[in-house]
Amino acid sequence: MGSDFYTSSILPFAGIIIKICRAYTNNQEDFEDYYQEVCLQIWRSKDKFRRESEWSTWIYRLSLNVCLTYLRKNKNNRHHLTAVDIPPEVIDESRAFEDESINELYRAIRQLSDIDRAVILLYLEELSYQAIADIIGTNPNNIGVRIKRIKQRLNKILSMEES
Amino acid sequence: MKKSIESTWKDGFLKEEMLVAPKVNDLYNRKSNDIIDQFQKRFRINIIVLVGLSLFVLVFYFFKGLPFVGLSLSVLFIILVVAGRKQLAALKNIDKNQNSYQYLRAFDTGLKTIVSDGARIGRVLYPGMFLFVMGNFLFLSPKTDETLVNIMNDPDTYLYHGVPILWVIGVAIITSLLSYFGKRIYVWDFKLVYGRVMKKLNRTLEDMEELID
Repeated sequence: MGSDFYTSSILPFAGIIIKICRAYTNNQEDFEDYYQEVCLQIWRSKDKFRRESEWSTWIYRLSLNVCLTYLRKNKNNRHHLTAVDIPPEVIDESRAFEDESINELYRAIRQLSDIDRAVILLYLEELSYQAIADIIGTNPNNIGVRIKRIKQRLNKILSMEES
Repeated sequence: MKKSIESTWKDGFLKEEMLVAPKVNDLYNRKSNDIIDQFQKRFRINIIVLVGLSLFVLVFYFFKGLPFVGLSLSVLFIILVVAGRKQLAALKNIDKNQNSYQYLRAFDTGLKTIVSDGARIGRVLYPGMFLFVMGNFLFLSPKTDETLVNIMNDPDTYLYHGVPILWVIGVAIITSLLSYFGKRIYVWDFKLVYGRVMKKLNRTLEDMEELID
């Protein structure tokens, strides 16, 4: 990959990739792998960017697609799964960010289904319901209801963690 | 007062330095771990191996004086090569640039096509391989001659085209069973490796379809 492309077109949007990859990984090693995979796929697919959307929206879309089909490294499992349901108690990424409340929120987000993770991440990034629906490929009318349900679930998980 | 999820997120990421991108090393030469890339890589290797094998058996059996066995096996491998190339082309067409639902749906369709094509081929492949082993045994093994002589010495042995009828029946039964179960064997084999990925994919698609309805 040309370092110019990385510096000019990926690095300014690294925040998006980091936020998404953190939600789909349970440890630093996996996170770095996912991050690099997303960068690799952005570089490979860059010519297919049709300028129908913002570059940042396209990065959200591509990052999610990569995270949904990435083969997670799992030394104990020869089948190399995409997203293994690892119980939250074995997640060792509790100190990924300095801000403890963000870490708590991520722990809760990781307990959601893959699609709910995508929906809530895009919502928290302040994308419109229409943009969320476009990225995921669903009906915007149902996004609001789903977000409400996800937030209730997250609040429940967070209050359980607190108590 | 407890902060909302939205404010936790916003405040938490206020400091940009919190989002430190990991070091990117030699991405150009990095091997992809994306499932589609892995499939493509696997099929590419399979195709190369199968082309090599089809040429090898053709030449090997020609020099052994059994060109028909070699040709049959070679055709069997070529069928696999053609199917593999078709599957590879279908996978290559899956574009990550689509929305997640279209992308996962295309991916799911690709997987299903691979399974159904593979299952159809399995019905020919497994019995074909068995016949190949039997052919090897019948035509090449020196022990076969001894066994045949022993059987031929028994005057009650029924022959079919010069081969003991019991052998023919045995081979026919096993070949039929392999053909009948070939589809299941292939699906079982595929699910052994990708079963959990497929299940997860189905769950995700179901989840998305709830959002579409």
